Amino acid sequence: MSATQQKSALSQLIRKRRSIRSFAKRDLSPELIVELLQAAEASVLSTDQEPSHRFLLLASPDGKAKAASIVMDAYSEQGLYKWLPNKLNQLMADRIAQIPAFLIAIAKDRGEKERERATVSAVLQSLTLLAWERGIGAVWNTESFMHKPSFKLGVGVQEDERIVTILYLGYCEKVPKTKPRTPAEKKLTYL
Amino acid sequence: MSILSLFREAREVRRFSDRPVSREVILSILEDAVWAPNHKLREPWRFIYAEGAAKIKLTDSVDASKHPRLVDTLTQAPVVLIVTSPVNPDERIDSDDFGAVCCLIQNIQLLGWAQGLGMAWELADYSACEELLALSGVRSDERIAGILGLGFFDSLPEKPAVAGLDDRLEIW
Repeated sequence: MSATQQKSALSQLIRKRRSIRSFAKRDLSPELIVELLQAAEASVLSTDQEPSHRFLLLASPDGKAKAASIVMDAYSEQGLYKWLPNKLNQLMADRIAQIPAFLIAIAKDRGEKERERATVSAVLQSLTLLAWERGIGAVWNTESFMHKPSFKLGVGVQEDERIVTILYLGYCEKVPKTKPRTPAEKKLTYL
Repeated sequence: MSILSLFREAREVRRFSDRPVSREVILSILEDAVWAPNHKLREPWRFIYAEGAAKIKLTDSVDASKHPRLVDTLTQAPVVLIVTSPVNPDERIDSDDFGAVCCLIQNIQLLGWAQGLGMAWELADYSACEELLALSGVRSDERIAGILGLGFFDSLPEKPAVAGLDDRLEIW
């Protein structure tokens, strides 16, 4: 691909990307996610040889089933499912089974909270673009259960770590319509 | 063909050439970059653009002994872009918005890189840099998500080794 082609391909990827919440019933290979994640990591401007973030990828039926029960424990801790636990349990397990892969991004708190969150966000944006190029959609999930002690314990998040987001990933079934964006020019001040 | 190689080769640029960067080039990058993911379409970013005399004023306002990297970037880069994110009392909204603005900054970096424009992304606690904040008009209900130095470059800087994922990725 020539430089001009790359530039216009990137511009198109960025503009056409949508957040995807419902996915095609098609497995996502963990190897592909890992390959794209490596390229995404290489694309960020971090000179940190010992990055303070790490990932947990849930992509197998067993891994997701385990995660489903951990999420239910977290909901239970939140007092969110006092009624019909069995039915809700099943709903949650079904919902989680429908999402092909979850990528949990975890940052260690080394006293530069914003720098660390910025790096993780940049990696995930690069990953999202590389995934989109292959017909794979993603959405950031920041529901409150991820900060519950029982969820953190269940997925092995340490005391000095924080979940930045859980990225849902899967092949797109249909791409939602776009809403217009505010032109950058309207948000720009020249000094 | 894929754009994987573009991503794999991207790197920080801290030394720039004299080739001028037009406002149109930066604006066209920003018009693409605002397609970053963001919650509820809040589009939580704001841009402050400095070059020439305004940029020199910003540079002079920062204590180089406290922020040497920032002063270096402000001095070297022909164009400086400050990108802000709103401060919100709701921790979740605050954090979601900050993440969205960082995604947008990553878009800026990649879009610039794709056309030979290098970037350095400065981010630290600048709350004590009162003069810088006043000069650039960053409000008390905003935080800086990045001070970006942008420019063309003559020689391609070496890419630092990328930390491996082996001990940072667990798969269930």
